[in-house]
Amino acid sequence: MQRRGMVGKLGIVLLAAVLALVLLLPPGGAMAAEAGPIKVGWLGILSGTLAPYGIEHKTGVEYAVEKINAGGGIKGAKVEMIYTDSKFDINTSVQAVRRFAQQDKVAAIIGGISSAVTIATVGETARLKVPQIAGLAGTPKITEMGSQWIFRTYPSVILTYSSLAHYAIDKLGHKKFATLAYNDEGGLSSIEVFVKTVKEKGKGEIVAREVVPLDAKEFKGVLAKMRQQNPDALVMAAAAPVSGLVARQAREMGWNVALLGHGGYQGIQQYRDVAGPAGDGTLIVTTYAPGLFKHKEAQEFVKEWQAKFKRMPKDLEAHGYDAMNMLAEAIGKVGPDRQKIRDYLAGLKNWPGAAGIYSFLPTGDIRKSLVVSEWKAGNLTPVVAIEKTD
Amino acid sequence: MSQLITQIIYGCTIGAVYALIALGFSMVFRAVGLLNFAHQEFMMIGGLLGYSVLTRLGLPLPVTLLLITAACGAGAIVLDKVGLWPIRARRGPLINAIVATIGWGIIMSNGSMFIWGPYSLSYPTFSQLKPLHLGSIALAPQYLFIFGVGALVMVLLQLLLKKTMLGLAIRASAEKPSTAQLMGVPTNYVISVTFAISGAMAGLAGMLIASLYYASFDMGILGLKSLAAAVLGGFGSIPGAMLGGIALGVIENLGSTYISSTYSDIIAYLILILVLLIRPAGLLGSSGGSVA
Amino acid sequence: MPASDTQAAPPMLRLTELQAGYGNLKVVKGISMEVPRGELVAIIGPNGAGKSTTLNCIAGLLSPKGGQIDLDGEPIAGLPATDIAARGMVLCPEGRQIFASLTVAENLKLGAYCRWNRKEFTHQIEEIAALFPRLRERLRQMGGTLSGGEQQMLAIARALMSRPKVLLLDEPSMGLAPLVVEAIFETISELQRRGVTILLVEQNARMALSVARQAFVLEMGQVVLRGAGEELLQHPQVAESYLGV
Repeated sequence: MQRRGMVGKLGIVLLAAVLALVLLLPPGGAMAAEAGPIKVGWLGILSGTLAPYGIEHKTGVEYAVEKINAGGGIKGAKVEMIYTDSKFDINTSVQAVRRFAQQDKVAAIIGGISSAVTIATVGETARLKVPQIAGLAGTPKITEMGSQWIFRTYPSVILTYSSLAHYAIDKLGHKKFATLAYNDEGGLSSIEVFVKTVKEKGKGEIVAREVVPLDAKEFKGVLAKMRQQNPDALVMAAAAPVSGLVARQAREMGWNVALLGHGGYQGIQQYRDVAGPAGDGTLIVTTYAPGLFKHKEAQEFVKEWQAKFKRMPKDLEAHGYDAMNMLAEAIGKVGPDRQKIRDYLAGLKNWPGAAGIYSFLPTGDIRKSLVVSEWKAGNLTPVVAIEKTD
Repeated sequence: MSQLITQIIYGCTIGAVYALIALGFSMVFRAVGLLNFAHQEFMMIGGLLGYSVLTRLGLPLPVTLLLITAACGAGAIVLDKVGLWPIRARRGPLINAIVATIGWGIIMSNGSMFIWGPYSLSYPTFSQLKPLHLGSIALAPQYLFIFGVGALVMVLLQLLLKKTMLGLAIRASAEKPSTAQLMGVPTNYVISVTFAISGAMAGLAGMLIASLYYASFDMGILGLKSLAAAVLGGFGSIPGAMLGGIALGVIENLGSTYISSTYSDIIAYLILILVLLIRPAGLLGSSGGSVA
Repeated sequence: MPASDTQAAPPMLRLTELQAGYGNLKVVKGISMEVPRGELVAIIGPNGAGKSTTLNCIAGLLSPKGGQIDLDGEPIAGLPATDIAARGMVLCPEGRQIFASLTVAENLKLGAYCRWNRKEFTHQIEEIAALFPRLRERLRQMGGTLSGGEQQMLAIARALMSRPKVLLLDEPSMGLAPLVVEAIFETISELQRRGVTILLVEQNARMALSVARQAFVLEMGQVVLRGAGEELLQHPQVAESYLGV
């Protein structure tokens, strides 16, 4: 930590030097930049265990940009993306935001993948007054910090885990729940929401709550302890490969408890890869399922995606695609002015995108359509759409 | 009660894997006085290579195990000859050699990310197996398999060290290298063999652990725990590495089952430190450094 | 002895203008000597005269800085210790250097590393036991548990296991009680009688000179006196400096 602090200081000194240079440049440079492409910064994890999330989101953004630029850009101006690997590191992320805002002069920032890192960037985009559309941040916190500049297209765990609780009790008839959370912001806040919703409904009961370290791989002890409480369902909030191990080890013990989860975690192919057949039957509240939403934008997106990629689009791909298009619409309407972009986004209601119909709340939080899916014979199969959420 | 027994068996299984890796840390340390921080990355390479061989070449598991074990053994020799030996031969400071191992470790893990990507790759073999029922105890059969392989390798290693001329040369070179040379023992060759055995066991451990969980470029971190296991048992002591590995595995598992899963690492390391405060040399360690 | 004979059979060990040292420090400054086949030659001298450095250089633990070393007519200067051991010259190092964590039997087995043969080993153990009866009872004991005298016996026994042409002994009397020293030197003489060529380095000049056919006095890295063992015992300079007369 101390070392990171040092690097931070050095970074600031370097940044100051770069800024000084920029200020010394003749004004012609700045003029030329205005007439040039519209720059958008993208920030997310492209290396390490969590890289699959970042890569998936980036793929969706890239596809949207490709389409926009192929269609002549935004009012003639091409979109130029600057992709940065946050390395799941707070310092790297904050530095990237500063560079985007001050050096690259981006119109807006898309990203922040993972709660811990995204939280750190929210204060920075608020200070620098840059609109930020968070990529994947399960934590509710980012839109509860009082920033006017933060938005999310990917719903927080409040929406997904409360919907999961409603669905599990009302439609599946489960009563006793055990929960297993990753010891990080996303995992802990997910289970917090689930537990709170169950208590508020007054119809179910939490019989076991376990929190596991990020590098844990052996869960048989924890699972055995939970099993003694005889829950109807086990609710998981941990990264895909880790949840996969939980599912596999539960079945290896011969424990056939119902497994419940969330698209950002257990909806990812890695979950099923690691879990193997043990992953089948897991019910998941997902934020997206290709083909399940009937509106035109969603249907066309699937068709075009399939033509290009020869496969179905994934959850974060659709959300990344939507974030970019939402931003492009704003810039197209009001120009590359950060304040105006923010105001435009804040007013979006019932915006039809690839991954559902979006409405922003005043906090920048989102209400959008969800889907309940189930792993069946190795495929994540949509079961039912939750059109309206609250 | 049956729950306790089950958890101990699971702990022993993970512990056997820890022990395989810990042995390599200990053996290399004894042979060249070096803490080899690239060692755990051979476990990672074993896990990932094993995945590729199983899924791409489709070789049967026992063949793959042997192949990967051999490949990681060879890799460890190359690491030493190319990346460490030149520092030793020119009598560079020990700390420089240690830093070089850290560097090689980082290069190996990042290099693996380029080759295999940042994904968690799970083995196809084991996941279909049904649990075994022994009385009231339900056991996943791969745990027994892994424990068996780990135990077998450790027995073979003990036989090699105790019953063969090569083993004698390894032990003698570790204790007094120049005297061993006076007896005609080619100590450079013995050091290469030591690296090979360490790398091979780490690679094997990597495949075993990956078959249980999954392989990923950053799984070396699990191997670093084995360093703690080696210290717990008494650093440099070979039976100590075995005992330390199994003790750490069992402590971790019982800690997360009966106390708190959140704090299983804290519990494990507190116990490690407690043992060291009472027995600074570790469970089986002695300042003189007995091999067996 | 006819001249042609000496030409046909070179001395077992010959040093020609040997120089050695550590870093920039030169400790051995041009030593020449011969150790004839089957004889016992001693080097005596004060601490720091370069005696052990000379032996380490001959055994290959240290590379010479100049000069030649010939073993049985073949140049060996600069070869690694392993190769020199394989060519039949073994050093019993200063301080005995017993492998404390190996048993006595394992120490002996390691001595036979160069020419390992299980059948012969059993046979050799018997020979060793005849020469050093005390080692026989201790075969299964750890090397580290032996007394100083027993360790010295083991060190010599271990060196003999490879059936060396030349045995190099570095301070075999060091730290041992007088009675034990006598026993050790008796054994050394016995080995010489059996035909082993021996180069002995000793601070205990009286013992060394009483068993050596020839001896060299080393001071400041140079040979200052040479002669038959008996002769040097009588030499006034030796008597004064090394025999405490």
